[in-house]
This record gives sequence, C-alpha cells and structure tokens, in this order.
Amino acid sequence: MASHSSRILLGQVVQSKLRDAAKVQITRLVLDEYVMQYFPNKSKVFAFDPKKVTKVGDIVLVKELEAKRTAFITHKIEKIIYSVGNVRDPITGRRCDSKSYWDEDERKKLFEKEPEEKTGLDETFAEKRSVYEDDRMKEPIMSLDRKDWKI
Amino acid sequence: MPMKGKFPLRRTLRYLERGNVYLRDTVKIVTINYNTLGETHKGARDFVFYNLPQLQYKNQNVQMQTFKNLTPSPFIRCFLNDGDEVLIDIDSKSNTSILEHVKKLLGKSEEILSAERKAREKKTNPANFGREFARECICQVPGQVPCPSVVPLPEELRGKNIDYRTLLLKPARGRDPNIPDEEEEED
Repeated sequence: MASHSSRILLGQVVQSKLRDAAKVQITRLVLDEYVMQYFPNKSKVFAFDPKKVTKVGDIVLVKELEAKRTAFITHKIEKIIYSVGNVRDPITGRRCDSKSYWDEDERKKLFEKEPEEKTGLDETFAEKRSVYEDDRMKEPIMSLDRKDWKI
Repeated sequence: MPMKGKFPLRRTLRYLERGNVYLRDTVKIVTINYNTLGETHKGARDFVFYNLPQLQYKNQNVQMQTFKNLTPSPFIRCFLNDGDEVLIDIDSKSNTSILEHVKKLLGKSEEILSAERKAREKKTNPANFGREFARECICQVPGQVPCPSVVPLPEELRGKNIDYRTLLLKPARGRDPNIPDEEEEED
C-alpha cells in the first residue's frame, strides 16, 4: 500500500527513564471482528529528544527516522501539538481550556511564573551531533600542564 | 444474537462498507477535537459516533484519534505526509455536512477512484499474461500447449516445417471454393 518513507504518528508522552529519548504511547483504532466495533489499541515508541523538550502528558507528533539511532530509538519528536496544561487552540491561537479561552492579562496577575511554552520546532534536533557531547566534556578533567600538578 | 446497544446498526459489516469517503494517500493522521457537553459540539459528537467507524474502515492505514474536552470549539485536524496540516472548523455543523466537507477537502475524487479500480481489475483479470500478472505465459495453464522449452512441439507445428507457399494458396477457413463470390454493391 502506501510507502513508509515518511511515516508520522501521533501519540502522548509517557514516563520513561531514558536520558535522551521520550517514550510515546500511540493509540490506533482496531476493529474487533466479533463485536464489530473499533477499540483503541496502544503501542509504544521511543522518540529521540535530547534536549528534553517534551513533558509527560504532551500530545506529540513523531516521525520515523531514516536510520535507527539505537535498537530502540526509531523515531524522533517532530512537533509538540498540545502541551499538557497549556493547550493552544489552533483555530484562534489562544490558550484555552474546555470551557473558555484564557485572558492573558488576568493570568499574569494571578500567576507570576507560567510554565515555559515549548513547541519543539525552535530546538534543533541535530541528528549528526553526538548524544554524548556535553559541555562538561570540553573542559579537560585534569590540567595537562606539568606546572599545575601538585607533586 | 440480539443487537445490543445504542444504534447497533453501526456494528454491522454492511454499515461499515457503506462508507464512501476515501482519503487521499498523503493524509496520515486525522484527529477530532470535541466536547462531551454543548450544543455546538453535537454535530462533532454525532460524526464520531456514526461516521468515524465508516471512515476508518475505508482508510485502514490512517491513524484516527479523538480528543475530548481540550478546547471550547470543535475542529478536525489532519496531518499530511510532508508535515502540512489541514484544519477544519466543525462548530455547529451537522455530522452529514461535516462528512461532505471532509470528502470535498481530503477525499479522492470519482476519477481517481475509477482509475484505481481499473488498475486493480487489470491485475486480477485472468486474461492478462505477463511478468506483472498472475501467470507469465499461457503454457502454465493445464490443458494448454506445454512450454516448447520443456516439451518440444510436434514437427508439423514448428515454423521451419510449415510450407507457407501452399498454405497461402489455400482458401480461407469457412469458405467453400465451389460457391462463387457474391459481388459487393458499391455504395
């Protein structure tokens, strides 16, 4: 049928212990042949997210990588669609809940600090960059000059 | 077995096969946002109840998901292959009009569907022989002349043994040489 060259999926981020990847739960509807009704079927996918842009509970768009990063990490986070507790209505672009749209001025008075809004688009998910490239690693653990050694 | 539940007709194969919206190949994900309460969301609720199973049945490879009670207004949000999005506002619409709108925007037209049907028929038509089809040559069919590479043809059927000169002089099949030709009238 359709080729798998650009396979995208929609799912919810679920807790995982991985350092550089997010576990995403994908629900698809599967027909039960006997009852003749569609039921949700859950499957899990590990998506590359080195900067920890996603929180647990976000609704996220996930795209299949051309080459697997590891045996488990086969996808990457493409875009955060609804961030948990911070839903933005795509039609109006305003933050909202199920009852109404939020008044930004009122919220600023009530809450000093609102959670950071990350869409996942601004971050560069640089695949070429090694996962282990940390700022710490650039500084040498020990000085290489003999003068600094205390012997 | 009695039909149980609210509108159990939805749970028949005949109802599912009645779906006539075939989404385009670029559409990969369809999400529907609606609320469980509210008059403006009634059409969306009906759409999910009555029409979503039909839509999913005809488009097995598309991921369909519903989100309840996230936003105050209902909408359908589709994600395409290239990363494009399609947003459909379904506020205060009936489920039939929502389905028509989706069909117009994202559904395959009749021309494309009939072309696909023809392509499928061509493959299943047993009269076609070739590398792409079910059988490569008529010699594979039992009862037909076997492949000459396996079983040599009898001498008289081989091209090199046919006397073409006398063959061409013979009258065509179905014509008696003793009965004279009828002269054709010129129009």
